[in-house]
Amino acid sequence: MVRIDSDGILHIHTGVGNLGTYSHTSTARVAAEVLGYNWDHCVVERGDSRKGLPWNLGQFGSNTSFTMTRTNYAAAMDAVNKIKNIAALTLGGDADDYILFEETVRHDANEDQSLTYAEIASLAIDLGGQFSGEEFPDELNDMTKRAVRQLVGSGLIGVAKDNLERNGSVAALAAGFMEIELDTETGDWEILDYLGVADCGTVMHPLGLASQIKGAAIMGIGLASLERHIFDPQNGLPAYLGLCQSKLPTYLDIPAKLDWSAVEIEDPSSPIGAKGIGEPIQGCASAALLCAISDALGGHTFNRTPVVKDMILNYVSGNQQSHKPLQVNTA
Amino acid sequence: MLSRTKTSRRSFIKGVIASGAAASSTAYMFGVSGCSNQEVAIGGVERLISLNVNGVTRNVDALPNETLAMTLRYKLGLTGTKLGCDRGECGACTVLIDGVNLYACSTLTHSVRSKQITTIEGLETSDGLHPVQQAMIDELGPQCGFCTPGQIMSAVSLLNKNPNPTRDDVRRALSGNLCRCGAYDHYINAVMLAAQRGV
Amino acid sequence: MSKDMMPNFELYQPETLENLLQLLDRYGDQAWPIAGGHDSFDWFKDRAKYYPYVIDLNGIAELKGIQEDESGIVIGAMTSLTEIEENTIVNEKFSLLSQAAARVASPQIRHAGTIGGNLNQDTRCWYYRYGVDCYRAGGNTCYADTPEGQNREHCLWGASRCVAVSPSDVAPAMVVLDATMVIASSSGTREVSAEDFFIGPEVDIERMTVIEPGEILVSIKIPNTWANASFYFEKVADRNTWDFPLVNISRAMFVENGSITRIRMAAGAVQCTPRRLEVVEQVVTGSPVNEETAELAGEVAIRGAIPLNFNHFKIPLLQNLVKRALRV
Repeated sequence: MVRIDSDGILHIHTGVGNLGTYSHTSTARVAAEVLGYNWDHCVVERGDSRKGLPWNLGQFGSNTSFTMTRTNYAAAMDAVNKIKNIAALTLGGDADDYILFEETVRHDANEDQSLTYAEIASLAIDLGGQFSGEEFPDELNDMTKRAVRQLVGSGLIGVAKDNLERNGSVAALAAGFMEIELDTETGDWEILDYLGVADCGTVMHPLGLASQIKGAAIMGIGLASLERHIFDPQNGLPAYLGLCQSKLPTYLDIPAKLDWSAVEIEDPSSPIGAKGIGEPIQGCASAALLCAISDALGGHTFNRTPVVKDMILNYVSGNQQSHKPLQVNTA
Repeated sequence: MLSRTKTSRRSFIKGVIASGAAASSTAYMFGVSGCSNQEVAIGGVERLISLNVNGVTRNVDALPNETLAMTLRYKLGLTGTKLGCDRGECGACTVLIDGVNLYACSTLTHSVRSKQITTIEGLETSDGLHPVQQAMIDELGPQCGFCTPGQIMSAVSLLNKNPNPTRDDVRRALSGNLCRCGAYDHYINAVMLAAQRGV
Repeated sequence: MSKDMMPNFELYQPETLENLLQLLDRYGDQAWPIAGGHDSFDWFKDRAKYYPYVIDLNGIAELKGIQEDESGIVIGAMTSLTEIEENTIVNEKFSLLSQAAARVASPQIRHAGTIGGNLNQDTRCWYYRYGVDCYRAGGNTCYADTPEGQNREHCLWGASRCVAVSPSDVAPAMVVLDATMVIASSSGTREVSAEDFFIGPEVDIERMTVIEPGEILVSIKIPNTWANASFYFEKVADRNTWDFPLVNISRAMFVENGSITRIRMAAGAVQCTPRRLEVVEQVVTGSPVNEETAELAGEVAIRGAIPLNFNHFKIPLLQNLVKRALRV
């Protein structure tokens, strides 16, 4: 749902939360782009349902960028439609004869026949009906309907259900490349170089994507080599209590070089070609590390993660592993 | 020497704080004067104390078993210092005490009575954000932002000692701060940018 | 008001050693002195230990600082690990100690943590730390030394009902440097060599050091015996910071004409006390510094190791660390 107020500011109402991926804002830019808005004249309304937030995906499931770009696109297209209709009603002519230009709507044959978005919003309030949120499609989710009712009469409301074409599942993909140096005497390894490549369609927020790829790589490294859930089988006591036993990667465990890249192949299922990214960038780093360790040791070596120093040392020295085959959650 | 007939609770407390002396709270409560030579409690603490936090003197009633993180968050309203693990294992509670970065969750409030405590709230000045804070925004340092106050305090401590660190220096100096989101690389970029811009 | 707080205690903050000793005498085994506090607060917060009288040692100036005299250096027990890491005298003459101190935990812990606290720290056996009633906690069982006990971090030698290890990085360095611990009580001071300072379960299963209630470690004397020797320190842990060692090795040696004239080595986290590798020292003294000596030393170092179910990886690890210590 989007809303243009009578000051001409675009409010993009999004139900996306915030874990730190910033996708609430990167997915909001679609609306700004569709409406031709200067980003400085846009406000992302989020984080508090008193602001009137529609039924949206949260920030999880590695799908936010895909789902919400479509949703915001649909809402923005509804706003475009309404803007042109208001222009036609007010200035005459056909809605299709109008184009959007720098936050105004003008007749493509006569550029003097124009209105600013601010003026459009005021007109929307006067006209009421579907323009200001008094009427809305019945197919909207109840939460979205409530959000519209919260904001009715405050400007031009663009709200729609995402009915864009949907053909199969749209999965994010990622590949990780890693080079390590393994010290066979201590089981210690150092990651010299890591490159994470994402296939998330169009990249909307490069710095944000970089953050995700690098952060996920570090999570993947932890998953593959440090983090374990150990229980004593006799009494069920957990041995991994506390952050000094439940070991997360630290500053000194991360790769010396951490690079990222994206293939930027637009996905046809999204109007701007974006997909989510989420989990795959973690899995590829885990797999890359395990493959690198195996490669260093001369071939496929382990069938259990995390691959800790114990296992490497036992393997290199020709001793049996401490754990029995198929035994998990032990040291 | 204090005698029971002349002392009121208020003057007793004022006297204790003003003189910097300490009297055991049990000694006070059970009516034993703080200076009798049989029951003298050398070095017991009084609960009403003054702390120097972000350059301001704050008076607070601190229990002996209270950690600095608890006092800052729940008694002084400075919730910028976060409690991640409360065990000295994550670094989210990092503050500066006399310029040194320490875990507030593992510091007794009574141990820092005479020291200068700087929390994340104390970095911003009338001129704006601290260079490290600004650099964090510019380099998109934080993801979820929960470990960020601790990271910034450690970074400020580093840059005050070593204004031109290498990336390796930064890694080592901040190695006492965990980040579950894995934002380490961007944090290092931010600290290097702040160093470049000058603190 | 707040959650997960430590149970209430009476806090004392003496400013002189004399006051401290008076307090220790008065409260005996009900008193708990804290320095940096990082070991203690975990116990209190988990409610696994409780002491009604806590004595904050941070105000006692006479226990801090590093002094040099003609026989060596004296380090106050309340000196922080960062101070030891950065001290010029320590770095010049006894860099083994600064190297070891630099690998302890994390920067913030090193700033607050003291050498005395590090040497007196309690073992990290996770069963014990969990709060179960094992031998070390005054009960009558051991959870780690069982057929399925998760004991990857536990000992290879010295098991005696308890199989926990000494987790300190600095303690083996102290043993190698032939340090002497100065312990004070209200009846005077006594000096104990570093090797005798740490005790195993066969001596007293509930303590890690010889310190008794009423006593306090005041300083550590390091003689010039090993000053300016060739030092080697290596610590292998799961992560590169903040972790206790799986095994660590400390070595001091003098080499003349390519041969080892004097050597001291100690390994940590393989026994309940720092393990002085005396047999290795005897075997390699007089030998040249080369790969053969290193190999022999490695084999000798692991003789007699008795692994538990999950810690036999420590055997090749110790062997390799000893070899590396003798290659340089």
